[in-house]
Amino acid sequence: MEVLTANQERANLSRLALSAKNDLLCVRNLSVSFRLGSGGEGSILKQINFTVAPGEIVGVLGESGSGKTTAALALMRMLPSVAQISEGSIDFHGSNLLELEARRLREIRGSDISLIYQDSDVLNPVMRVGDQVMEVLRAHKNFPSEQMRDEVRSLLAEMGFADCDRIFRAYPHQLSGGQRRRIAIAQALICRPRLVIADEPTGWLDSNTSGEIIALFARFRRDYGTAFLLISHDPETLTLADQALVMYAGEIVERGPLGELFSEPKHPYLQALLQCRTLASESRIVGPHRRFPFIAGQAPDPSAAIPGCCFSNRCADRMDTCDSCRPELIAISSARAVRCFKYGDGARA
Amino acid sequence: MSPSSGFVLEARGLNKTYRQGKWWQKKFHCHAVENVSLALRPHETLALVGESGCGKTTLAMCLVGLVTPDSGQILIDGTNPESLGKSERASIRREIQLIFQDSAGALNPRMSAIEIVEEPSLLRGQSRSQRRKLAEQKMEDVGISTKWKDRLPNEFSGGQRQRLAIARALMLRPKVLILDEVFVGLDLSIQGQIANLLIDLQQAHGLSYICISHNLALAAQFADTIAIMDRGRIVEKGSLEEFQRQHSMALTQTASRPEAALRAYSGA
Repeated sequence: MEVLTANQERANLSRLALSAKNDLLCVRNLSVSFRLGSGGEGSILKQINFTVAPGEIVGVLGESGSGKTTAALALMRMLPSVAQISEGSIDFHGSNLLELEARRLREIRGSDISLIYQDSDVLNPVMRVGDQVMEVLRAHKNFPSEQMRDEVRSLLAEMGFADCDRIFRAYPHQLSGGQRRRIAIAQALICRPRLVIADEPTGWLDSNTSGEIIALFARFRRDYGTAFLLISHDPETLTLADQALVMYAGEIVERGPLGELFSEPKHPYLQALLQCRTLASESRIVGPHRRFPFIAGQAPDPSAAIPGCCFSNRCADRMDTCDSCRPELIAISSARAVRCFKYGDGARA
Repeated sequence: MSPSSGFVLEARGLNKTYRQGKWWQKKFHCHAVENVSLALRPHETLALVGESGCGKTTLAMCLVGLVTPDSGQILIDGTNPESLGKSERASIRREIQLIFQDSAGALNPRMSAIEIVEEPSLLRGQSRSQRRKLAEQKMEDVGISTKWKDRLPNEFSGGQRQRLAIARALMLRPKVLILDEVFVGLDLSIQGQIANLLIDLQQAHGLSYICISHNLALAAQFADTIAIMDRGRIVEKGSLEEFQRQHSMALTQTASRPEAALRAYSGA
């Protein structure tokens, strides 16, 4: 076990990046801050490091406000104007996305990297949904329109729509929420991108449809070698992922292979979060005063500077050091790392 | 009113069909709700489970009167609101309140929290101070401090907005709350809080719930009676115990593999 300082971690990562030149996406020290109306600054993302290999599925687990959507938008360079990337680099397929000119970036967006928005109402209400999917294809490929229409139809069929022709001609308001969601996903997949960033892809979908979406992602990975960055607040959505990052208050608090993370969570936040899954578990909590588990308190305000661990105010295992020192991401095995004073040789009990 | 039936809310043979397609187009009929009957006792929690697009939300809309069913009856406390005069009908309908899917989006972004909560009581013709007092009390009931009463909805977190929506629904002292996917979109760490709050409120106010969800395991955790809906029909209905006895396999499956389990019921 070793404690990595930020510098060592950086050095390690750059070594990794050198050794694995074929990483599809390599995010280094990505920090995003935003301006407040009052003139101050807050930071939403604090030095995020991760890589995605071709065909790899990386899950990002985090709750609202943890910065996972900001990370997705930063990768696409689509942050709102109040937020800016203050540090770091994003290497995608050999080019630094942060230095690309607008025209080149536009070519990449939608065709090489695509984003499935969290918000389900991204569709144009006065345009047939089939045409909206075709619009993406038309922007990037130069096919005859008959071929484009066939491509869209076959993708819709692949996505589990029974009546593709009706769906193709329908307007968004004629479809159910789950169907609209699938159309938005179709827009992201139609160009067969190398990397799909899926922000809450199965939010609002019933378990049946979300299972189909997840299966579709798996099929896309197998057939086209698509890599996915699955972002969700729900551990169930991430079942497909090989690796997972757990985010809290703009930091990665734990990372590792998904199975290990869920079977033996190390960080107190992840432990508490996984306990909250009882609401959807098989054993019913009974009794007149039945109580479901939850994590009390709130995540810290991003504009407030926290000297210690960002989870300390809600942590069940809080120690004295937690409020004063900021824990570093500590490697606890070759594949896993956790940001908590409880682990590693540097643990100060 | 005839409390003899013992049901706070009863639906008999509800039908609702949406028609798609203009006069020059091929018509497409969507049978959103087909011959649905259900009954809800006081203090009971009924879970309505089904896939998206199976008509759960349309059924909820029919029950609160936002959508007029093509045929069938809705009885509130044994009384058919259609048989009453306009003002009586309005007052009896207040007993059924709906918390919308995506309740956060249903809050007016320009109104402060307290205005949002007190707005429904404008219908009751109370004085301003009475309304304020009641609204503050409801906010306290759902666990939102009254010192936040002047904040706008976007200054609250998702869970707090859900609480505001619940407080707003409680303003008219309903007997039945219809919860349309209340847990969807909430963080895992606060879903438990909202569930606890709903259980507390049920005990304190004697509420009945219709809990609409696509998650069978969650419904089994929360409800006394379960009704499974598929393509507009209720295909199965029973108490939780009956359900567990018959489908313990499927319930276990839902917890571990949600996608497969609901399919087991389709066409059951």
